[in-house]
Amino acid sequence: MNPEEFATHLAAARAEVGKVIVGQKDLVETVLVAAICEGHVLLEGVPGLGKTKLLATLGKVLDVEFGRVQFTPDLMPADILGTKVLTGNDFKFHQGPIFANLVLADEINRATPKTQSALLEAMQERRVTLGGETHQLPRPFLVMATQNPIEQEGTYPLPEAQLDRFLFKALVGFPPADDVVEILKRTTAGPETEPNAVMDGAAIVEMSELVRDLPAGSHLLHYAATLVEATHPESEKAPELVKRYVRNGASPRGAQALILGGKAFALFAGRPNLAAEDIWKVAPMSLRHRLVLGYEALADGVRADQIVSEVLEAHPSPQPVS
Amino acid sequence: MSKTMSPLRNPTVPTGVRDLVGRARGRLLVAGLLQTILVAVGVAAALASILVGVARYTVIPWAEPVAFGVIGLAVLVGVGLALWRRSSPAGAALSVDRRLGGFDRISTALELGALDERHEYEDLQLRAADVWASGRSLDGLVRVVPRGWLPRLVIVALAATLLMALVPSAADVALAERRAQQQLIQDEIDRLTEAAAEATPEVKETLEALLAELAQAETLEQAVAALGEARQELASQADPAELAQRTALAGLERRLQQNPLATGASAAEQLRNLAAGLANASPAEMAAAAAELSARAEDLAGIDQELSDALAGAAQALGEAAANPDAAAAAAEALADAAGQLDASNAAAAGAANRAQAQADVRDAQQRLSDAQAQGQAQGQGQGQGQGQGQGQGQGQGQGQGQGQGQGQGQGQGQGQGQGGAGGGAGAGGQSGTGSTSGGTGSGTVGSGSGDHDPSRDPSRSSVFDPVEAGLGDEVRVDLTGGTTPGDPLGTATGQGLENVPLQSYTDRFTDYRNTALDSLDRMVIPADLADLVRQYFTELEP
Repeated sequence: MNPEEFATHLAAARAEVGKVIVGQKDLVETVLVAAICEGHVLLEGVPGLGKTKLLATLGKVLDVEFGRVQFTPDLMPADILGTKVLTGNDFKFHQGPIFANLVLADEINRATPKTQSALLEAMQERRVTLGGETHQLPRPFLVMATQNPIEQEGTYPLPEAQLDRFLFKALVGFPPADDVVEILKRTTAGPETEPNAVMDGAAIVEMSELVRDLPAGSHLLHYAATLVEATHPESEKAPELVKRYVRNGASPRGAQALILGGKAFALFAGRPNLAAEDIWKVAPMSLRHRLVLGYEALADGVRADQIVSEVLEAHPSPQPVS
Repeated sequence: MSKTMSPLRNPTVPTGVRDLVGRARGRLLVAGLLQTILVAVGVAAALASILVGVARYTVIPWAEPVAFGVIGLAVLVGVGLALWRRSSPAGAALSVDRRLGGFDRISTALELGALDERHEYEDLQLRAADVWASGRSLDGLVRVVPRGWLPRLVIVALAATLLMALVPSAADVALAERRAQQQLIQDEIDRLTEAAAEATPEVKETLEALLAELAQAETLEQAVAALGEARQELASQADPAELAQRTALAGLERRLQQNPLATGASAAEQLRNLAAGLANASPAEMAAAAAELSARAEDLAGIDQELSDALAGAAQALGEAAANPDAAAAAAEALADAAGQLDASNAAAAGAANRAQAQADVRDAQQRLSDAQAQGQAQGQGQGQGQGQGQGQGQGQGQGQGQGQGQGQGQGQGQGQGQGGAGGGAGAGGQSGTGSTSGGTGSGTVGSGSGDHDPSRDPSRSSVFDPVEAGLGDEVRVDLTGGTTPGDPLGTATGQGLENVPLQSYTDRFTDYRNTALDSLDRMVIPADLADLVRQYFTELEP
């Protein structure tokens, strides 16, 4: 697969998703790019904005095995990972819904930390260890989670370690009125449109390898590192907002997300190389969930996106590498 | 990887990329040069305009050179900074990527091109970058000629600086005058330096101290004052006996020029020639020569006693030779001795002459600077009144004709001082003012003699009245309304003769007057023939 074919595939996938999902162009691209990078995505938005619909549609378009888990407070790890069941004289492992290419973890913050933590190994190492046995997850393995930022009662905020495993965190905003009208047209009259599968798991893996092979100038690698370093309040490169409101900055996974996501976006744009513009594009979705803000930020109403913007302003472009 | 080779010369980097980066680098350099120079010159021009502006109201001699020097330095600093901050190839590539929408194609290609081994997608990237770079216009990269408020501000600042520097101000005029004065002072320093090189050690020391003061002098007034002090010091160094000796020797030379004993340009030569030709001289000639030498010996008595004795001895030997031809050899020897003594006296007087020459040089310098100062004052005061006050001082004696000479501007006042007889003096007025304004003619009063008119009291003129000692002040003024005939007293003394007043030796008084007059000759600007006249006058009056 070459970059042109990559862009063609993604454009086709986006078009198919667009048959179901009205608007949300950036969100769709974000999810598609994350899928191409074999990265996990956390979608955050109020109920009813189509988060679950988007991910379900994505499963159909990508034509991969789709598993859905509705996270609730009483959900147990075994309900996700699977369990051993006595069958005859032997215990046989019954795979949970996580053994799928695309796992929709709906309202992930409603599960207890114990259950949330069950995803840690699976998301990072793409395997499940149960009863001393390790089970490899299929490739591609994508966790697409949703969470509601409003309802705090009966929810368990994801721990930093869990958040860090998501390649992107996408914010799902309310669609403009025209899009709402279009949604109404599509959902209140006649049968809903079914998307076609335009890709498969093998294509996703191939595209993922292409993303990794895409060249990136060393100045851009330094730039990504600089941006991440600048999110740390103790760094000299950190802008004032970071020093004031951030308790912990992004991890190296943040820099990985900047480069990988940027490369995918570059290919999406038909370019055979990473650009600073790609990094700027993925910076908010890559870094916002990796910043641990202090209580001052909560008190002053400062959001992570503001801080990421401040970091980008402080370091507007890559510098030549000596 | 060819790390040591510049990517712009690395053949593995696509030609289009290298060409684009090279062109971008040059354009960025030119733009950076202009921008940096503009900023540097702008700051410098602003400071320079302030400096030159202040210098229009206050004399700051270094204002304009410093102002334009700062601007020139700013240009150099700007060039240096621009070259120092010149973009590297990677920097230029990044600029192209950012400003021309290269999406890091060029900077990535520059890096990938330097790799020894590349994989498929890297080659693909290089090809894509080459295609994108080939023929790419750099118009949007950077504006070479700066626009906006900065260039305008710089132009205004430069224009203001130039305008203020070119349009003369009162401070500029004052500065030019100061420089002219400094040049005049420097000219005098140069002249006096040459004079000091030939001076005797004592005079040289004085002149060197004077040169140091002149070098420190900032105005003509200070220089003139320093010259005046030096003149006084040189005058104080003069020994009256030396002066008298020099005067007497000059009188001897002059006398023998008028009434030669024999052929010869100088008195000593005449003496030697006389001695050489004595064998052929007649007794009458020897007697005449003996009489002349005797008279000259008397002239020098008490002034240069050794010379006087030698001349007297020669006169006596000549007299004897006139009576007895056998004594001619002794006379010739005596004449030779006298000539040798005369040479020795002349050599001794050379030191005094050197000092006198130095005094004359200093006097001339003071005169020139005074003239320049007066000219500057006249110009400064405008063309009009030009009246100041000068003061002249004259001395009269005997016949009642004295001369005073004043210096300065405008109306002068002469003071005369006379003594003896029907004394009358003429005070000459101040010099005319210089510049465009002529000074008024001085109308000096004339000092007059008064007092000792009674021949019965002192028929031999052996003593003279000393008004100072008498407590009558040092001058008596007379009205100068009469006396139109030359030689007659010019006025009538209003003083009256006094009885039983203190008297001073005429010889002492004469010596004082003579020394004072000769000293004045050295100090003042007087034509040579008039100076000779004064010297002759005193020679003839010598008791």
